[in-house]
Amino acid sequence: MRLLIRFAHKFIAFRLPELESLAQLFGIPVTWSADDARRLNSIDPNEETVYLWVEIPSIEAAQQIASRAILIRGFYDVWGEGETYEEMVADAKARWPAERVAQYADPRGIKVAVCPFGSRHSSSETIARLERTSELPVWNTGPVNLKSPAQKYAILEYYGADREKLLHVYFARRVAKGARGLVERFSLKRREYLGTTSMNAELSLLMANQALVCPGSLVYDPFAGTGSLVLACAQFGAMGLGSDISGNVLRGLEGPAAAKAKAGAGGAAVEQQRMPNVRSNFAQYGLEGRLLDLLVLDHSRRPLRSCELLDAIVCDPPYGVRAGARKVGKKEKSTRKGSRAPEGATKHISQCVNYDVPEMLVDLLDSAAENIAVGGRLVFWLPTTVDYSDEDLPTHPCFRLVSNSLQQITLSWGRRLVTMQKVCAYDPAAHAAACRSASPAHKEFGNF
Amino acid sequence: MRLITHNVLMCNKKGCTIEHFPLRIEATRVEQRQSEFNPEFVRHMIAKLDWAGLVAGAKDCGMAVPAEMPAEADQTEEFLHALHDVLLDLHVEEGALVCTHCNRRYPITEGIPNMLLTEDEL
Repeated sequence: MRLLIRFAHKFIAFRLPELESLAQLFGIPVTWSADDARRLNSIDPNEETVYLWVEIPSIEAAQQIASRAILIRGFYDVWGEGETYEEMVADAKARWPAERVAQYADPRGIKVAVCPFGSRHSSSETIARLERTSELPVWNTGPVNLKSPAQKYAILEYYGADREKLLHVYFARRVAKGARGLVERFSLKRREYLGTTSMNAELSLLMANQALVCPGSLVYDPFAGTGSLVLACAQFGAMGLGSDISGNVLRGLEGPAAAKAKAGAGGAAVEQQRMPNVRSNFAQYGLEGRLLDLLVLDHSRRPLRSCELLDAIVCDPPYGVRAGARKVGKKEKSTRKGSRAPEGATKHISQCVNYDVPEMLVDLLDSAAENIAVGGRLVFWLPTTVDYSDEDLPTHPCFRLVSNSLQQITLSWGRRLVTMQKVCAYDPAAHAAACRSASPAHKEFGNF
Repeated sequence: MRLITHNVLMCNKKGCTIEHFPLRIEATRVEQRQSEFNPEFVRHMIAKLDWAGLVAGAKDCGMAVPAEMPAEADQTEEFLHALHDVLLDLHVEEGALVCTHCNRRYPITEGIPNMLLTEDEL
């Protein structure tokens, strides 16, 4: 059947990859035209849109996809459309006469929303638009109930680049609602434990979708920090493992909250149990059972046995934009001699050196190839400058590129969410050397 | 640290390339915390586990696991429950992981193993 999707007008380049990922996750065939896809991805004000026609097997399939979709507002069954309200009303009356509409009659009532794209309406303008559809038989199917209607309808408007002229309007029944409510629920504003690099809720959830996580999945974030990405995956049922080179970050002993608590305690040692940390973030959402474990480890020297046990790796590697990348190593001019800790002591603090970007990417792809199961995904961010070309993406013979979506941060740089899928089993002899990381324009990112 | 995590960790110290898995668990505090039974996850993990590693890890924590992984036909609901308890409900809160080959100790504090090597061990 043919349904209309209304997307959020955000993260434009991420919308189709998310839809494709969810279609794959649920095994639902969803198709659309190449030209519609091009327009959906367009940032040209004369073309940009939030609407996409899709061919999908059933309403249940749409509901399944919508239940996870962060960038989809809803799926709509269009009853009538036109360039003006008059055309749209005439079309809807012809296609959906009173007899056909009667199947949706319900004493609990209806709600009709006006959803403009490219303009905004005051409440009186909204009412005026609703009145222009008063001839539609749908108004006789039940009382208006704005709080808990049995059926939800929408007038979906599309305005031109001048924001004044209505170009197209649909009347539709909403058959599935997207999962954007989660964005608010997981908002960082409400998160107990935050760091400077905590990933925003919307993008974290989006990454979990790109990673195809589902109940029973095992997900790993090798640069976990405050755990936002693992948390988003846990929301969709995955069990998550997180590691970081800094144990203090995992335990909540670093960052503004810890500093505040220390100051409050007059500089005295802070009672660890009371500090917000990664675990308490999971507990906040009732997901503590899904945080498998936290580990302190250095990603450049992974203490993980070779096994294809993970379903996905999701991460935001430290590129030095807000947090520099570190690995254990000896500083060139180190004056420290014989750094072996005295017998029994655990207090030795390992020296750290900079972990350069191409090397980190090679480690990331190689570890993903070694530890992800065939069919599993690697989802990570890569900062890129205006000089970006596809050559800048690291490659690995075990991975196929699925999508690569740009989030523009400033005019000169942005970051790309790269999604890769593992397509063949890992062979250390053949693959370790074949992993390639170019020396792209962003390799000096830490020095910006 | 749960036993499923123990099942993937190995010693990565310079030169330690044999018998660096499984690490011996020397626990000073172990907690049992019941979690929601997750049959999908347990079933999904069975084939990926290193069974000998699991047997050794469970033994270090005073739990018994059959020496051989039961055949698929014998992986009953009851078996999955028992495996869930071993893999997910046992938490090593304090103690250490010790490499049986080079004796390197990796401390576990508040349930978090510290696998960092010093710069001389790379």
